[in-house]
Amino acid sequence: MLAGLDAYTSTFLSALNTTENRINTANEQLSSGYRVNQPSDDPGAIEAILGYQSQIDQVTQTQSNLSQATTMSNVADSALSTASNMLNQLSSIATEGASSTSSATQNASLGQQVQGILKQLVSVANTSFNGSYVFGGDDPTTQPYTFNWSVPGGVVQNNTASVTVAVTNSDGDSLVIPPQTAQQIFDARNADGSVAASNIFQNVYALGQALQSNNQAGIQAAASSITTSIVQLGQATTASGVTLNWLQQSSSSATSKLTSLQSQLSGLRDADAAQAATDLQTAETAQQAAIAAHGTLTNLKSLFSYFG
Amino acid sequence: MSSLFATLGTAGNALDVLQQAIGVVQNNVTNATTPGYVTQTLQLAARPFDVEGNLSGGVESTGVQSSRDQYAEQSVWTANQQSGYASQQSASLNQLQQIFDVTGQSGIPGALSTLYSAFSAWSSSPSNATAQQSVLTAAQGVSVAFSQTFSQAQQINSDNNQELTSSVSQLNQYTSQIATLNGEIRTSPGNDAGLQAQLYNTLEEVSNLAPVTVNIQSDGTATVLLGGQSPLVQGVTQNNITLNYTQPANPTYPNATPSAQLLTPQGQDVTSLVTQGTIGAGLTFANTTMPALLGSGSQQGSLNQLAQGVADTVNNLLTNGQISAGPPAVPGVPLFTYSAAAPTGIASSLAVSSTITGSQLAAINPGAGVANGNATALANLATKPDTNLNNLSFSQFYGAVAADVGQQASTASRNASATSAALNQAQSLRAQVSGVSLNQQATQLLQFQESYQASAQLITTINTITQSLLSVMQQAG
Repeated sequence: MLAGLDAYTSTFLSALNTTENRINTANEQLSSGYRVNQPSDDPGAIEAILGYQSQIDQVTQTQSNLSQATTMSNVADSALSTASNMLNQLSSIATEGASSTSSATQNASLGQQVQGILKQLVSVANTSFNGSYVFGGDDPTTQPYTFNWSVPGGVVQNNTASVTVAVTNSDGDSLVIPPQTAQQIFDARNADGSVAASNIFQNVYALGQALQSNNQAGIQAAASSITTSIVQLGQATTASGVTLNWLQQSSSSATSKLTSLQSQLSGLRDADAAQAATDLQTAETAQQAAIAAHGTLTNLKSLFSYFG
Repeated sequence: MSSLFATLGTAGNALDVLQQAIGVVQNNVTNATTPGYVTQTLQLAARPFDVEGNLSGGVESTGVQSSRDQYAEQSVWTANQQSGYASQQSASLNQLQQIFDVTGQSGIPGALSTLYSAFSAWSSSPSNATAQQSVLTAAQGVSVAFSQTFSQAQQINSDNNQELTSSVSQLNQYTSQIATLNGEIRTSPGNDAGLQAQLYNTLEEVSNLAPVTVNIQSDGTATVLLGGQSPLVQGVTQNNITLNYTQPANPTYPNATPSAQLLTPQGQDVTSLVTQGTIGAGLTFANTTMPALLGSGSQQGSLNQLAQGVADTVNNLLTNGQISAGPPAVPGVPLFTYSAAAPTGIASSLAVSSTITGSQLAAINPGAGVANGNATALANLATKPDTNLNNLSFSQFYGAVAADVGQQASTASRNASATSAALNQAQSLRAQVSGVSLNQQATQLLQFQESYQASAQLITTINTITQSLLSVMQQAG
């Protein structure tokens, strides 16, 4: 029956078109690895996919912020432990200077040592990482202190910024990092701005001055003040430890959050490769069959073919 | 004796009629694949026959009858209007949806994500020059992404308008052909199958372009009404339709892209009648789909809305923040600029302020006194609902716009396959009813051939009889 060959041909072409679309879809899924390659593939999933991707980007950036903060906190922590060693050394110097066997000359030389140690403590307070002063607080580009033995206290404060810059983790909690500024650690003040009893710079300076002038009473007093300062530094070290701990927890929490987000996104967006491969195979077979069938159809003869 | 000669005449006449019938078969067979052609049949009738009354009978033709079925034609036209609309719409939407990124890694969502990340990195080291510069670069990326997407959408819009223009001119061409054909049909004798085929083929082409109602008049001419109301062709008169772009009266956004309308020669607006066909799809796309994104006289367009939302929110946070706590405190400056005078072009005019430098980014939130409070708030925009955008975050709003286009594209694609199947079905139904069947024609040819041969044989036999009668007469003479 050859009636209306055109209508049959257009039906055939439209069916062929459908099959080719199936081949294209399967092909696209296999090559991109994604089930959703354009909005029409699953309009209902677009918002969620973009949402997950946006969260993944956010958590990835948080991880990078946390890791930068961790590096900086490690630098700060090791600076504090250097300072702690120095204070212990000062403590022995004070004991040595306070002993009755130490002469004025010996004490003057010890005073020189203390002066050197104060200089080193200032450089610890000025520890920088990646171009910023770790204990610079909110003003990390200004050097916190300058060593100057000839001024009272032996140091000049250049940076009075407090620290408020907080790192936010992927759970939305934030922590000020590093927790304390150079002033809070080394140059503790009372509420009225006067020098606190535990002020490290002041106590080291006082020790140095007492040793240099061989002031026994001063040396005694300074020796006991250094002990207070050691406690003060111990508190700073503890705070630093807490920070490092928080950073570590935040970082592992971010990692697990990222993994979970990625698996959710993958479930929503990724193609089922096995299914896509099967679809491709099926569609290709269907296409070949349709073309072969159409080929036979065009071989069909009408009655005219049998005329003399 | 007169009856013997009459019989000879009748048989001779039958040969003529059979020749005509074979001629009709020939025309059918050669036109089997001519678009619009339907099977023609020569109507045969037996002549009065009465032996005693000296009526010698025989066969006569009562004219050629067309097998055209108006109902089948009508269903093809209806299906064609729907299929024209759906396939055109599917093609345009499919093109449009390609400008929407669904990975979140490129285009507008990718650029926004990069900006949030830059804000976040900057928040952890607010005074770091590199981090500040990254924010400026990422903001630049956002403005580029918006303007690229906007210009891609505009390109698609202008492509659609071009297609619309060419479809309308095609429609006018076809209706002018129909008017010419109507004139020829009026003057041609009888039912010219060739003219009819041309007419119906043109009508089918027209139905693919626009929703038309066709009335066949008693003289065989076609009256074509657009949307059943506005005459496109009446007899030999054709009404040209013009495509025009215009702003609605008192537009809220006078600078917006004008909307498309179709006008009759009398200036009557017939846009609302054209709801089907490729022209209908072009109009819907130009007047509904694209304005939702790019804006029109009455709406701002979601791309512009999103661009303005991003710029306003970011600028608002920055200008309420501080660059330096001082004293004296230095307030923040805006990061983005756009042309507020053209609300329907913000996605395109969005740019990074030419005067801002990295160190002028206001990281300080003065209320909380936190040095990176503002920067953190900017980084948190990634998930923060925006009151100007139906309480959706920027990425959600974008997702909703993309999902809407995707939904339309998906529906249009389904409609396109469904209506194309319906069209195929209507066409194949019509082919069964009125298409030329070669087998049928072959059998008819065989029948006519046999009849012809038999009639010819009849003439030979009658001739022999007449000859013998004549020889009897000669012998008698």
